[in-house]
Amino acid sequence: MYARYLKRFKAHLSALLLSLVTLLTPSIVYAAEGHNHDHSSPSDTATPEQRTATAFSKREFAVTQLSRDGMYRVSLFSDQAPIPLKKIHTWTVHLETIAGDVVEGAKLYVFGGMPIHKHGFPTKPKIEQYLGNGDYTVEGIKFDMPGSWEMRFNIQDKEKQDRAVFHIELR
Amino acid sequence: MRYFTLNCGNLGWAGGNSGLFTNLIKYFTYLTPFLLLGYCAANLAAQTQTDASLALLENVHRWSADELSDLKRLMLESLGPPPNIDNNRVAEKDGAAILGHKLFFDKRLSLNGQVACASCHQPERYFTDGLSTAQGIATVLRNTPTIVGIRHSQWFFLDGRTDSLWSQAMGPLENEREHGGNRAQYAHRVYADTKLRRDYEKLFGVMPALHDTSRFPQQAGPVADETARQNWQKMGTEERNAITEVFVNLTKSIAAYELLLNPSPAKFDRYVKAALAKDEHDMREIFTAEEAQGLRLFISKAMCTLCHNGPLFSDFGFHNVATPPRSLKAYDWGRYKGVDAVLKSEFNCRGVYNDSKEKSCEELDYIVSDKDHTLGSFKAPSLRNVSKTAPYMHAGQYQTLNQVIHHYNNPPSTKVGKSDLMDIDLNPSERTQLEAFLHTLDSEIAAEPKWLREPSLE
Repeated sequence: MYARYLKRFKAHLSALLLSLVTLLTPSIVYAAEGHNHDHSSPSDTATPEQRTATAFSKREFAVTQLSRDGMYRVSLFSDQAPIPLKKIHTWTVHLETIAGDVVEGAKLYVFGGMPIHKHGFPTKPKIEQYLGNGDYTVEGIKFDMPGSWEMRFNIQDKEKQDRAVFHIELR
Repeated sequence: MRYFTLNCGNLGWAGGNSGLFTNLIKYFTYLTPFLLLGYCAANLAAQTQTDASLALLENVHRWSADELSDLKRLMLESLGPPPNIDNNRVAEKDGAAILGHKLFFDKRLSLNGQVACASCHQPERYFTDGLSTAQGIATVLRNTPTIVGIRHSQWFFLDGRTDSLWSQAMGPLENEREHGGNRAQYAHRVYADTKLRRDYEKLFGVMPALHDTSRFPQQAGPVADETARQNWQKMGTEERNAITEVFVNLTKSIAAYELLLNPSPAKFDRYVKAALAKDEHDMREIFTAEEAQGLRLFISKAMCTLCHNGPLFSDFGFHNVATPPRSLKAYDWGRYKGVDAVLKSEFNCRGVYNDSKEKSCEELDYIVSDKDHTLGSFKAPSLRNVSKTAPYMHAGQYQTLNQVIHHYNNPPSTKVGKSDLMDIDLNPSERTQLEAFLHTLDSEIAAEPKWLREPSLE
């Protein structure tokens, strides 16, 4: 009896094969299409560069550090608290030798921007005035968006040259 | 092996049609359950896929604290007070907006009596004209930007060659491709019209004695037109100053009208409000998953907020985005020329026509003039209602947002200056999502309807 069923089964094997193909084809097609459906996932935001100075909370900034070649102690202060966005405003940079003497009459150049975004300031800031006591005004600073900014100083005093970079995180 | 072949004999080719028919029925009876199973399996596969997508997109309305503060900064209600408009003493006077409104729609302020400000800045097209480059007296070389929300910009024109809204209006009025007229003509137009003259004198005092055409020719101005220019050169200094002052006053009135045109909140703003309130139900009602994902891309992977940031989706700064030049014969240098022009202009912040008492001109003092940053750079437009301002870029090089997004994804080599673009790599779905998001910035203009149509001439 079983042999008879087996015989029937074998006879209709071709029909079974056809059915299997029918069964599998849609799944194969869907699987293939599925690779084309790119599931966009939220991307990581850019990691900020490593900071060499810390920004205080409430967007005030007062940081002192050694210049790159160790010739000066450079301090940078925001004149306004909180630090404004999209507005031209002034900062102060204070320059001392490592012995602690204020540096007067130095030639300072300021530039910078957003290093991750590879663009500079939307303005051209300048070291405008010497206020005495080693203090120089940094005028024309404007941050047009929050994020990671850099203020770079080239310092030239008599024959000595050095530079300092300050990282500023704005939220 | 004979079991693996279709026994054609059974199909009845030799035996006749009835045999074939019965066998087909037989085979279908066997096939049907498998077909059904196959169909269900395929559906299950598809459903699993969709469920997986949905599961991922379940998170599409979940925003981190950092992302929420980014979104808040893009909300219209985060818009602070506009920059100083002290340079224009009639900026906020109703009478000035009324006069300005009339002048804005007045076709007679042109060479051929056919071109008004509203000819290119059409209210029904969000104050643009739907053309690649504008059409005045002749074809203009750049795209018409919108005026809506423009009060928040520090610089005007695509190259920022003026630093006040009123001094911008002087440009097209005396440009030979746009209005093609001259300042004496415009002064005479107002002088000869009882109502316009009445409106003017209420704001600015008595007009000069323009009926004396020996002193004040009908056509005169520092323009391209030969006759007008020669007349201008022959005029005395006093007369030229008087005409210029009238011209400046007219443009200050036009500016007072333009200051009234601002965007109202969009669907985007409602979505962010819901997001800040952590109301997921509302968020899902307001934004589709596609739009929310587009927003996510906008503030992250697509890097749009590098330039299109703030409540008006623009920093109104100058950026080089490697746009293909309108003409390979004459490149448009953009901001590079604009800086020169604004610094030299007698109508800039430092000039005598600036009504501000303080006269602090910091934007000019600290202007970026480095060729590296300015060559081929143009002002980033606001993206609010961007779906209404096609074609896009400084000479309308792209007809659709799809093309714009494609450009940013795959920019051509920069022909003018250095590109500011970062590499982004959006796949087709992401580009669609980004485009869907941009449409959520559509809104009305927040001005009374009367300002959005031709004025009554009373």
